[in-house]
Amino acid sequence: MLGGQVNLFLSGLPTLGQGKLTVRDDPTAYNTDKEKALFTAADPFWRLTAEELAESGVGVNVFFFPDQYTDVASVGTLASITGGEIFFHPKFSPVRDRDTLYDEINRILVRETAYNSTIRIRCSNGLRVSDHIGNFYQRSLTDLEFGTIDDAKTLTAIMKHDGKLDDRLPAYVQIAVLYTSSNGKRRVRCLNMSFTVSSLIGNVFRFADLDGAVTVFLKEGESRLDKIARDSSRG
Amino acid sequence: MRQSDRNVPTHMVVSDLEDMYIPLANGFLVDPLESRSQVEMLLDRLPGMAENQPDGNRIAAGSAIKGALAGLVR
Repeated sequence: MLGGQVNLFLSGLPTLGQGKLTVRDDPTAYNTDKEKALFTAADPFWRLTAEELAESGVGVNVFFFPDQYTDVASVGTLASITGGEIFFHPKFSPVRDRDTLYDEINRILVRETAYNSTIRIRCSNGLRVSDHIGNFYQRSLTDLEFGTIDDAKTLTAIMKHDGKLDDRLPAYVQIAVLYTSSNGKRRVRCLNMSFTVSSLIGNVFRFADLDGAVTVFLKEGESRLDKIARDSSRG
Repeated sequence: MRQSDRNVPTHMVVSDLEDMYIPLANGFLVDPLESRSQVEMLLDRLPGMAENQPDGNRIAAGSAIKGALAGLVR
């Protein structure tokens, strides 16, 4: 079991066989509390199959070419849980969209892709990872599984204080990525970082990473779209 | 399909939507360089296969994904 990549090209709603879907778009639900149901999969088949694919080291990229309503929330879980990508081409016109599609397919076939990947983030004493945000399959508190992963993918991890940090010593974070390379070799890549600890609050603010902070707010809000009403997610 | 010893790709139909499987003992994956001409022939045939059928076109993507998974897992 080395893993692999499946590219699914869909021109309409799957209405036959396992996981079949219906037109469930409901414009009266927009901007109400019921809207969030439209952002989750309609049938648990899609999430369960995606988890099976991620565990087998398979990533799915989905290309949608709808002319009418299509259920991206359901079929798209295949990509968001396995670490794949979603390409959305509504009312596809060959003349207008051919070049974009060509580039997208070329990119996913040619770029360096790793399979069957597990990522774990570790911190030194006094810190702990409290949350992970992104498109992967989280089987346990610490391990994130990706069917496929490449250099276009990112994930967000939020770390919290777990105890007192000594400001005479640095704090460390390590990200370990276990994966199978595209030529079949099983490898681990470690990224090690050290950070200075300060007890002066002015320094904490002065050296804060604004881009990082805004990214975290944005991704946290976006990840909660299917759980809370849209307006409070804007806060 | 390990078709490097044949000239044209073979078309097989699995009609059991609830229990998808790959009907080939050795799997269906090939080396794209060795089987380049068969892969190109398959791509040329695809538009014809997707044409409008007499009793309507319905999509069974869920079953198709299960079939793909069956072929990628040993």
